[in-house]
Amino acid sequence: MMKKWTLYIFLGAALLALWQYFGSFNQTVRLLVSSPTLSMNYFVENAGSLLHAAQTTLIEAVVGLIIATIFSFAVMILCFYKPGILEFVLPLMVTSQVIPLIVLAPFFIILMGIGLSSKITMAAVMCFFPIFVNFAQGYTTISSNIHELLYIYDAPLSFRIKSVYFPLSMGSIMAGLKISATLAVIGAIVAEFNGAELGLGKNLYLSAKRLEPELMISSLVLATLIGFILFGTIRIIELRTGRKL
Amino acid sequence: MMFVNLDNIGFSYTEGKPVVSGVSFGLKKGETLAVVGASGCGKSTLLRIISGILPQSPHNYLSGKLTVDGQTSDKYRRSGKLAFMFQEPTLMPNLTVRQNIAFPLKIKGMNNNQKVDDLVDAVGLTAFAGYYPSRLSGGMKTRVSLARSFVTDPELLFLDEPFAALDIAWKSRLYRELEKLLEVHNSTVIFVTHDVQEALLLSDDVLVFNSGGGIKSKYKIENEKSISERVNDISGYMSEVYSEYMLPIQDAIMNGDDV
Amino acid sequence: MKSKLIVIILSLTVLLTACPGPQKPETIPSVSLREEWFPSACFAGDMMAMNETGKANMINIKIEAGAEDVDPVKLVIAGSNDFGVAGADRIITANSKGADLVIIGVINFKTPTVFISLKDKNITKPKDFEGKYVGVMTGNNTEYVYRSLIQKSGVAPKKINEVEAPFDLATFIAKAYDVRPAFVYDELVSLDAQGIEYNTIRPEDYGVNFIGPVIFAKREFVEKNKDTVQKFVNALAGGWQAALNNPAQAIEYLKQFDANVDAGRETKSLIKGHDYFIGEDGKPLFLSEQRWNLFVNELIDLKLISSEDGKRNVFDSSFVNNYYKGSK
Repeated sequence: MMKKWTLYIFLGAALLALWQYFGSFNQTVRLLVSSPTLSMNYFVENAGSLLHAAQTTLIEAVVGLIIATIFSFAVMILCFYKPGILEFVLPLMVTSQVIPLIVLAPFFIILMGIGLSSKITMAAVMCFFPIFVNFAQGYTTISSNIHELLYIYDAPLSFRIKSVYFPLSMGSIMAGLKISATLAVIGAIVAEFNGAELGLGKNLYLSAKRLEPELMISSLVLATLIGFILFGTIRIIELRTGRKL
Repeated sequence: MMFVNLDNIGFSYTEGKPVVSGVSFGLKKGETLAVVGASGCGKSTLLRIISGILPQSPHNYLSGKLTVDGQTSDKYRRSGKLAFMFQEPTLMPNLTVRQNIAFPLKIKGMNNNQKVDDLVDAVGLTAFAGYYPSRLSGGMKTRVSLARSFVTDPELLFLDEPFAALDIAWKSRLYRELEKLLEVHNSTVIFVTHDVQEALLLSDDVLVFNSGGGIKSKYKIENEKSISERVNDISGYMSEVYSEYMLPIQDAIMNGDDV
Repeated sequence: MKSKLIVIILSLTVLLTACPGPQKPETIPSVSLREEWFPSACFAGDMMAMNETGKANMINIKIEAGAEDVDPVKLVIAGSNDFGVAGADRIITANSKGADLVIIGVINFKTPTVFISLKDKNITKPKDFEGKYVGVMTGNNTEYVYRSLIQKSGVAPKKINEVEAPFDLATFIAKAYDVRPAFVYDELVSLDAQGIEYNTIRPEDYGVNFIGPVIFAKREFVEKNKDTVQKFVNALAGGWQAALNNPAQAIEYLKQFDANVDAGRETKSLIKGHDYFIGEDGKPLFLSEQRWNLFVNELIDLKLISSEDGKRNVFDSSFVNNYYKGSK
């Protein structure tokens, strides 16, 4: 374990050193990816506005993820009450995952303007499918014996949903949520690309248009951090609520 | 009047070859019936029919007359007086041993800590009451499943090859535990097994199924020994019942195509 | 005694009702302007109008930022905004599809689009495009300027390798292509900040008559609210004059509008764009009919609009003319 971490740290340091070297002595590299020290200085100088942008993107991603989670749970509960819906809807949902939903971003901007709502909607749309599809798959893997056991004891549907379907699908739901955590950030950023007052996506767009590599690197690092935070939060929830299955 | 009465029961999943056909028998209250036969001959399906699990789909086809305590199987199932022990332990992986045993009570919105504790003790799992199924051995899981079957004081208990995966040592222990539980709860039992010896150790009656899903032969075990007496002296008991029951039953299973 | 009291009360009542009450303050009109782009130097005059000249002209102006996929034309047509900023060719095209918009002021009387190449490429005139890779932003106003430029310069389009130019300036540095379009007060500012040397080809030097962004509104709105529109134009024209005289203040207001703006960069941008914002004859928002007609004819020559569309009355210079008449 220690050996692995030592290797990671060594590799990271080597990459940083290479980056610093080429970023300092090669103008093209510097203009494309800046250097660690320049990026760090830029971050320190502009911490306020960068963190403000990061906060906006974080809010969009988190709210989008929450909405997607609630909506997918609601649809799934509807499917429990009307099983025919799930049979019909699930193949469509699985197939729809091949559509690059990113293309909807400009459409949401037109519908909802460049405020937070279009970004939240994009993030929510990106997250909905993996959560729903994973939940549905988790449900279908519940053994038929358990269904029979519930039937034998005439368990009401509300009990089944609360005490069996949700808990036994939790592993799959969590897997879907972990995928969605990163998709939420991607959705928010891409929507910001298309038009935003504020956000890391807008920073990335402007940094490319205006050749500001330090802004790009700073925004990229913050975006990655947001991804880690969301993923990590889901993982902590998974560990706290999960049982040794 | 028979507690469980089947009159010419037939069943198929779709319009096709029946899985169970022409099954008729009666079972008195408090008796234990074993159903034996070759693999795939419809034994487990029969359990599901009597317990009301089948038919489940409008495409399923059930014929004949079936009553349990004078009611339809579905009505009896809804009364909450039956329990089913599956071939796989079918434990809820997110619940502890204690919670799994209490699960049927939870479904009914009931609470009886004393009864649950007694059942945990009865199957010898007091030290493991807080364990999750992933930490249990196969035998322990089977014991949990067995204890769970009794938590609602079932009048009628179905066991679908419950001890199939266990070795003889575990089986013997569980036979004794089953006997203790039956003494307390006085349930009527219908169980399916591949193991003819097990059928003879545990039951009062044995039905042999043929491969067509019908009854090939019926046997009433005329032996006054209790389960624990039979188990404590297996070889002695088996020699008693060998020629009268063991041989013909095995023969009937081997020649299961003949009706 | 009683009758005397009645007379006094009645007299007082007559007097009071006859006196005019205190003057009600005139309601100050409020209007909104949807910009074409993110908050930047091209908002400078509007920022001055919002904070200073608007008040002086008794009008409240609300500025709303634009973005890549925010379409001021659609928003004004939908009534979400009273005024918008967009390319003039887009207004003519919208009208040809049934909209009835009118241009009331011109922000850049000549197009701020230039064509740049890295210094060492030595591409200094349109003829040098032949045999080179030229980045074109298809569907964008800069594409039309490019087409007009090569047409007027007699450059053979087939001898040019046209590639799609992304918004990403890094591709220019990385020499993914030789030439690309740029705005004088946008991309060039970024290149200057990085110390990158480049050659600039200005379309106006080759007879290209394109104009830059314009301010427009629905004709119906303009006709029903002439007074408000005049106040608005006065505020904006005055705002631009003030901004060009005091760029630091204009950018200060911009920073108040959007704290994320890089004030240093935008000040440089405003100064660099001075010759484009100053307006024809040194009058911000002003464009002569003659210059307008040259622009329209160029659009017709490029077959971007039909001659019927070109004849439509889409440019109303009366408000700007009134401002400059009044300010003499």
